[in-house]
Amino acid sequence: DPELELLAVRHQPEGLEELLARTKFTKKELQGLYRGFKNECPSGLVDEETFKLIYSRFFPQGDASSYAHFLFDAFDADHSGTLCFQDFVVGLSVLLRGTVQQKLRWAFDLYDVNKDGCITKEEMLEIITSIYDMMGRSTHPPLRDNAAAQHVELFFQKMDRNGDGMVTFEEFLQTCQEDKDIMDSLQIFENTI
Amino acid sequence: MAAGVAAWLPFARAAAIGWMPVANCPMPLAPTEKNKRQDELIILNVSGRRFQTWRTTLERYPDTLLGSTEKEFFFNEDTKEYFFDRDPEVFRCILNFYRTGKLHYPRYECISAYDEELAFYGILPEIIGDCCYEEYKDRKRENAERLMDDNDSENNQEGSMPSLSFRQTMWRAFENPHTSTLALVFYYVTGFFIAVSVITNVVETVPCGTVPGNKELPCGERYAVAFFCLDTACVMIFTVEYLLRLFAAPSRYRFIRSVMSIIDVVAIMPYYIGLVMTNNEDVSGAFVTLRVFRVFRIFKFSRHSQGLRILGYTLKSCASELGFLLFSLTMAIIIFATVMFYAEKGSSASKFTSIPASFWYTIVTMTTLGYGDMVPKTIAGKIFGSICSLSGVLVIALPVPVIVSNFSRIYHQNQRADKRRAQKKARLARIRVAKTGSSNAYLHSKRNGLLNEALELTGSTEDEPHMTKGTSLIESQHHHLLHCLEKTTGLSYLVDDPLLSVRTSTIKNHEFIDEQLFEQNCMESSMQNYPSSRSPSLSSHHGLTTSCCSRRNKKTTHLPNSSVPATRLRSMQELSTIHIQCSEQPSLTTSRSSLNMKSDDGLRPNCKAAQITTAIISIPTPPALTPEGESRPPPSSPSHSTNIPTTTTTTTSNIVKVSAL
Repeated sequence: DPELELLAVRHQPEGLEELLARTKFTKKELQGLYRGFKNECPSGLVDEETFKLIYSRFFPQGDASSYAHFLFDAFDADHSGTLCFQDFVVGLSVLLRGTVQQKLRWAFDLYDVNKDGCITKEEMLEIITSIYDMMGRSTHPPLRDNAAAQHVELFFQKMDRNGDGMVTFEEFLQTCQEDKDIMDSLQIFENTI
Repeated sequence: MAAGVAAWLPFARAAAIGWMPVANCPMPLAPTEKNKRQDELIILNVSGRRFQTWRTTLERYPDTLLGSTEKEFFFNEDTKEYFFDRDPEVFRCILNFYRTGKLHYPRYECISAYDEELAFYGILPEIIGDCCYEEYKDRKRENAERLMDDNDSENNQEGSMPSLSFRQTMWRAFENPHTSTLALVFYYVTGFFIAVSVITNVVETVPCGTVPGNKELPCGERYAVAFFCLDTACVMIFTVEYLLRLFAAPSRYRFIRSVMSIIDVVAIMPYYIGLVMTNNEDVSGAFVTLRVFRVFRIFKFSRHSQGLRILGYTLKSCASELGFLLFSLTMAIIIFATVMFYAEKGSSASKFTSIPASFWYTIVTMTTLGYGDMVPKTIAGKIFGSICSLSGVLVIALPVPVIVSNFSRIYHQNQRADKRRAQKKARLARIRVAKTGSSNAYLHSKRNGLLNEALELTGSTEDEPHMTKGTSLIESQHHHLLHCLEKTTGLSYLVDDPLLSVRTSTIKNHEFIDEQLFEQNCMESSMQNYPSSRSPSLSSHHGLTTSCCSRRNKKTTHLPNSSVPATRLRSMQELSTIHIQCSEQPSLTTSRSSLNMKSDDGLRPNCKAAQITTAIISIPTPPALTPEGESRPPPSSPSHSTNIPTTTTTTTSNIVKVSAL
């Protein structure tokens, strides 16, 4: 019974000092984050099912479970199957306080489902389909069947510079740095914490 | 759930960076916190007992007193704390609600005191957790019944009735004999005659004395005339009584179908049928049978006895258990009768002539009566006979306590199950209504958010405070998140209802006059992609909004009182989901809600109202709506916010309701 296991193991995070060293948050911010986290997960660990549930609350009209799965893998740095506070806060630090390169690396790792260093069309299709799933059925304009595939094509046209059907990190980084919209959009969540 | 959303929202927003490289369109701007405060401890002094909590804990539920700026009214400058002159015990539960997201009802607390505290703090009782909800509802119902009973008995004692019609007074007299002396007299007279009738029926058959030269006669035949007179008198009384009840009954059709009236009819029918029929030999046998029905008069006593009625009801409700007992008994009887028949087949002059004949033996043996008129003679018969009687003890003795306990259990359970089912349906309906409301919330806020940006960009200052005060930061951030998703995919959200789908995606808020022109503008601007059409839509929206905002400012403050009927009128035209909310609205009787209706801060609720009227305007009867457009805004916010009387964000109140699940 996985729930029982979670409760039995009360996970304590690393000390405040270590987390301060590993992340770019201030002490107060870490304290606030941990209070929120502990309130929601008294056991200190989040398993994938709970994570999917939580993330789905933000997208009531669609199905956020597949994208939440990819997110979970991206945050779960040590692949332990559960998210602890460290994973959570280290990931957030990269996303909110990291350099552009770190953020793009994080996004690249998110898209690279099998973590082999390059993004293939199949992986991208999975990701994009999961994003579209979050929108749900009733959209305007209505979701076409090949919308995700088209989106993938668009993405590869932009990103795949040498046309080999795969996107490496260098290509990804270069294309994103040249695209003003993407650069701007990476900064919009600056004030989140 | 609001706690959940608030705590994880930063995470979800940060994770949205994962969409950025994939997006085809530029992202909308994030909402900015005007005054970002570090989380601070605030002190709540409730009648001397100090509670401390984080500010963000309270802000989880922005539609309650503590979560909104309403608490500023209670801020004490000298001591720098919020002072509430209320019960500290109940406050403990209320504060725990903010902390844990679950509202509990303490059993030792008086239900009306608790209700008052909840109303004061702006918390809807519906979100009491499942662990305590049943208890809460039970106590509330008990209390309500008690108060109602008290009122009733007061009324009765006062004796000053509002003028009821003659018919109604008669019906009341019949149903409650204690209301007037005449009713009491009538009650006792009918009781007496029922007793007389039953006794005469019984005594009729007693043999009393011999007529010389003949055998003993029953009294009925000896004093035939006397008995006939008695019978006639009783039936007269019963007939008159039945006719009077029929006349006085509020619903005659229902009265005729009721059990008591059927008993009445069955009680007096034999007499009339006997009168009608002649002394025909053929039918006299049937006539005699009919006289049996006179015994049903004894059931008329159930009007006089509460216990009899309860017994009847419990039998009815335990019918299935009784039926099962009968069925199992029948099975046992058939089995043993068959066995006894075949066992006794051999013996001569056996009484067990057939299996049905053996039924009698089996029943008498199993119920341990043992008349002795039929006894087995063969050894096998005796063995099986003893088995039969032993098993009879078990078969009879076991179900009886089960049935008795079933009576009480099923009786109470039926009451509780129906009650719970009714509560649950109502609760789920309310929660469902709030949930569908939350999916509309994004659209409304989307328009509102767009409008905010438009206003900011064009530097319109007069309306800015009204707009931005509307949504809370968390809500605007959540909607920004959804907006980013729309941008990433190039699609946009629609409300579920197809009727709303096209129009709400294009309609802006708080536009009451000149709808058609406005709709056209919106249609054009939304058909294109948002970013590219920003400039034209800005100007068109800007022009319309400033005009309508100013118009709204002027008009609405004049009509706080007329707003209520307008809401009710409008509520007829609304869709089903919103209709439920509005139809519940007239039941609001707390003073808080009336305060909100006439709030001087009418501009804020108007903005909220504006959000809601978005969906409502789209219903096809625009010409009818426009004249009363001005008077519509104020009350819709209470109606939309599922009865929480608040002036602040109704949409987050919807999120709150979802969290209760």
